Amino acid sequence: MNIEAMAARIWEAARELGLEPHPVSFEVVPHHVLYEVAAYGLPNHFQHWTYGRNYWLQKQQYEHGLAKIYELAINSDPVLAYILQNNSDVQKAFVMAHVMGHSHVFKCNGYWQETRKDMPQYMSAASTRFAEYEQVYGALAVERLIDRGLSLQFHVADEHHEPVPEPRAARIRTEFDDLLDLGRRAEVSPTQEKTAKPRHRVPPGRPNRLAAPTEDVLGYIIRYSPVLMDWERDILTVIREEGIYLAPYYRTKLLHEGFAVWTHQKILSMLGLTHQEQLEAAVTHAGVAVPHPLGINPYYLGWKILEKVEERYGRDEVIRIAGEEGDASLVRNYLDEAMVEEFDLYRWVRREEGGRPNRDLVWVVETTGWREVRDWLANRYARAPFPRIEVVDVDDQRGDLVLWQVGDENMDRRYAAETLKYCVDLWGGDVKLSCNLDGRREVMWRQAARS
Amino acid sequence: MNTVGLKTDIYDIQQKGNRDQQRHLEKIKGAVKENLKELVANENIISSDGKKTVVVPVRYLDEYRFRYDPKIDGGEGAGQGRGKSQKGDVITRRPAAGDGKGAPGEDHQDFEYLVEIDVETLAGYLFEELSLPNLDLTKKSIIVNEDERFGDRRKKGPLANLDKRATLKEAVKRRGTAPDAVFIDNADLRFRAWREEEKEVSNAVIFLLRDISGSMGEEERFLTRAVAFWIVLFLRKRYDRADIVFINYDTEAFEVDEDRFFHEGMGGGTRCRSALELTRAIIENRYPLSLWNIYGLQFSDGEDFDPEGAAAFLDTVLPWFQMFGYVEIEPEGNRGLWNSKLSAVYAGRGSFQRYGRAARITHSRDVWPAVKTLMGPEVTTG
Repeated sequence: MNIEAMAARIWEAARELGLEPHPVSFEVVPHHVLYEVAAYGLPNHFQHWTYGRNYWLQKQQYEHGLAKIYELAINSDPVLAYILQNNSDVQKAFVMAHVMGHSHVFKCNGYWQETRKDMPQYMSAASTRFAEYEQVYGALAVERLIDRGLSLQFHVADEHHEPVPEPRAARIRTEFDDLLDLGRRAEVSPTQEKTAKPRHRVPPGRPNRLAAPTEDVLGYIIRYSPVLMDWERDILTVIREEGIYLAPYYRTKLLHEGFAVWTHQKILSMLGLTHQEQLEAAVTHAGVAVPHPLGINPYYLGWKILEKVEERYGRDEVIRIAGEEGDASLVRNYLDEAMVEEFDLYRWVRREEGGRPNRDLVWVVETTGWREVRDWLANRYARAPFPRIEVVDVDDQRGDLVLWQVGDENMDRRYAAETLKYCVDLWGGDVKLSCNLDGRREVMWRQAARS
Repeated sequence: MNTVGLKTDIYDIQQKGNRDQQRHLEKIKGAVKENLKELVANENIISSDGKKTVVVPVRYLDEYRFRYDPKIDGGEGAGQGRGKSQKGDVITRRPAAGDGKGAPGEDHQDFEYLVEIDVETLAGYLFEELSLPNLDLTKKSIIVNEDERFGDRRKKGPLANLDKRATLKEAVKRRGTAPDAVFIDNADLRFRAWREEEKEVSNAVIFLLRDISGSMGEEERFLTRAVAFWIVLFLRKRYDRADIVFINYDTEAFEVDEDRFFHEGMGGGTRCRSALELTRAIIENRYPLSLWNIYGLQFSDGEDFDPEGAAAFLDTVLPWFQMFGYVEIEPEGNRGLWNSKLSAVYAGRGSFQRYGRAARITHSRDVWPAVKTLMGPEVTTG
């Protein structure tokens, strides 16, 4: 069977299975192209050294045979999928079948439905503009800005759902307040009153002085920072759009990969492969779906759960799950005692044994109790991959940006301090962050350079 | 395209990956600068004799962002066995390295790149960091240097070296004023000749003195080497010509080659006066003070049979030195610098206070401060 006919046949099979995927545009590429797209996340992505680093690391892993990328599917309409040139026909069929599962989740899953489906085009146009900015403003200026933007890339929210609140009008505390306020209340920019004495105090408890706090930190800065130029706003806006576009990945990793494995298993059984081909497909499958003793392989666990669901409730339930659940709810709703035992899931802890200088780190099974394991996993999947940060206030007098960490998990102090410097650059004024450091709530305050 | 499409293309031209990869590498090299303090005692560099490039570790370059405290992660997790796992089963174990964070392959936390960098560049960073003063370059010798170029022209010379082009030019010039004159006159002849050039060369000689009595082990040898490496490198960079004289001593002193200098070891007593006497003799015989800048570095464990005698002798030679560094290598590190026999006596001498520098090393992290003390900006020239 030639590969185009195979692609058509696989599409048919996906439809027969009951899937409703986005159309898929497959591209057969040499490995350096695949690794490049994987490192950047999109073809024609804007340039930045962090992607160069990822590309380099991935290439090295590939060259040393440590890690291999089998498939790469990009959320858009149509879905863009990449296949390695030097894979065998069976491996290509395997990847195509697998991608049908991803495409279905991209199209039907609630987390994914509202993401930009024109992201590749949007990003491609943006990267052309960025290259022009490099010509005009210098590559270093563009790089510095992207450094700062990327540090806040996941502190974004889709404005359609959480409108960004306006900053409170600046208030001047004198007896002539009302007179001074006449006609200018709304125009005072947040940083105009920079010369006032710093106030080393942040309100106790959770300051909640914006009408509604927002997690769209980057969006808020883009909208209200008085120091950004238009081209800078453009770059930051693109970074923010990408952040919103990528966010569902963290919510649906287990589901996505599990469902894709489930789909390729189903579709491959429908293609009428010869014994030889079936064997090759099984070997490829076994290379992907293996349990990990110190972590969760989403391909394996996700697939195993869905397989059990199908056994009990039928195929339609699996397809419904692909459309409606996320990782946390999949685990919470479906992982039960029998599965935990059969899949041999456990929770481990790391201990230290022995004294100096022969200290050992030992990883030990702490519990195989199904409720503990399930709850731990569900909580882990529900947890945001980054600390959640909100804009809660803009200081009246000087326009300081006040940020608040939601929740009580400790943050990395050095990273927080450096990121805060970036925020100061973008905001053009002081930034304060109330967050958990070494088990205590502290306020970190970074001051802008005063001229 | 409504359902499923397939395209293949030609991908000969690699695109942005390479540029960003280059930029990343540039940034890594920049990061080397920030790691200098750790790198000065890096074994690969110290033992890089003659090699142009060395491979050094650089911490993973991360982009800053708000993230959880890495100490939280890695301490617990979920996993999947191959069946019948029980509470208390040991999944894996490994020796705790460093601060022992992170599960194997878990994060980039402690990840390091190995980066190739040339020693010259590294030394440049280092000396920049030390903000070293202009040392005295006034003592210079003059040598006659024959330029490689066979470029000079003269009116006399062997016919074989006749420069025909230059000769014709001369003839044309002459006939320009007198058109009827001879085609080529003897006065037109030009011969090629070696260019002779006088050049001033700044000279330095570095005396490395090492106490080889008992207590110098592998670790101490390495520390000696690290300190000597940077100082020699620095002086070689500053002076056109730098000689190194290696002297080992116990109760007697010997001039040795580099290999023996670092590796020789003996039991028994120490009399550092012997090394100072030999140093003096070598200077008198080979390194006239009018032409040579003299530097000295003494490595010792601080023990000596005759510290007073050494110190008294020191007074006679020390004024010849631009800088004389006394480096006490003491692995246990439980004694203060000026508490050893030798250092206490040195410290009391006016000549040492004027021309000497002292540093103490117990650990590789002391190498940087030691180099800084010995070569730092407060060194004024003698």
